[in-house]
Amino acid sequence: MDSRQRFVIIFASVAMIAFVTLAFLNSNQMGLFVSSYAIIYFALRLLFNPRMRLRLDVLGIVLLVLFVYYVAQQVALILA
Amino acid sequence: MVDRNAIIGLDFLVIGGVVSALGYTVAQSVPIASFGFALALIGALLFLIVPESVPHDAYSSMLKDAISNVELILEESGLRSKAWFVLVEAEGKRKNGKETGRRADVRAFVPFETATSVISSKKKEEEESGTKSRALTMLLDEESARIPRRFITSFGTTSGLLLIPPGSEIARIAGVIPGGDIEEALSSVLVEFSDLCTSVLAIEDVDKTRTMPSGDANEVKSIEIKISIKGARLLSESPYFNACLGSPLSCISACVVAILKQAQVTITDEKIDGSLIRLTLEAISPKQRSMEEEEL
Repeated sequence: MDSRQRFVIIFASVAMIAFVTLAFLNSNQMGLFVSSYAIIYFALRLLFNPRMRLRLDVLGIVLLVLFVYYVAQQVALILA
Repeated sequence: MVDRNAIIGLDFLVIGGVVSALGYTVAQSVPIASFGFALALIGALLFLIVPESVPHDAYSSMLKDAISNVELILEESGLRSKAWFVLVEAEGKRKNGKETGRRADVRAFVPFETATSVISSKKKEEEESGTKSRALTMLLDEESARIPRRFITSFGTTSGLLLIPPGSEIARIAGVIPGGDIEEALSSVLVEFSDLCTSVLAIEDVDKTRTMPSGDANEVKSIEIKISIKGARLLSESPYFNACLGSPLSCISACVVAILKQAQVTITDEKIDGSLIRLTLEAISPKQRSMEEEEL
């Protein structure tokens, strides 16, 4: 098994563990799920650094935008 | 042609996207939507990650065969002296009928006698004749650094074998650019590109001077590089190969450093402790002449 396969398998396993845990805790916030996936993705990306088809990390950008959006939403909620 | 991973990835991406959208809008269930989102993420990863063009086992066995070939040649020649990894200009290959231009390839020069003995003999000659040996000073000059590309060749005053080291092509294909960071380049080649080890550390020491291989310390800029390779997955049990070119990963590292520094590189020290390799490389290049020297 090479590092790329390891990266996908570990990401899928950890993301599913996070999903089951949050679902089991009755979490009803989409932001929580998305944030956890984003953190898992960035942590594993840093560890494995696999070669991607595109030079630009599109998936990373999408996850970062969603993460920032949900965090900003929570901050606005607290401030309001 | 779209590969199998890309098709599976696209399937996951579409199914995940549909489940996520329906879960969020129709079922209004966050867990279903997030499950779909996770599926879409896994699909996107499968689609985006570049698959291996050659399976790792096949690639590893081809590398071992290449090492065995070099081992046979070295054994027949009875050579055990440390190789110099030198850059030679090669003709660019034809691509779509067009010449891709000249490129620098790394070759391993294994001297018939050790360079130190050559230098000591030349120094003796100098002392005897009282004049500076021209051959020594010419060795690293641009004119004399045009190394012949034949099998048995002479480089300056030393004769030896010119071999293609396993790793020359890996370093080229991985896109090593001259002047880059050593640790970054080694990590990119050994970990990301070839998956031959788990991590690489490199420390560079610039201000060192040595008389190898020309014997003229004033003309030579020497860099000592200490490299630590963890989790090595390819080790060689070929004694002649190990003695001349180092372990396979050290050989690839030397090729990468030769391209990065545009210099002649040799392995001065190598210690293998299980899957941990500690090696010291020395990169030697002609010292840039100062403006004053140029004017003179």
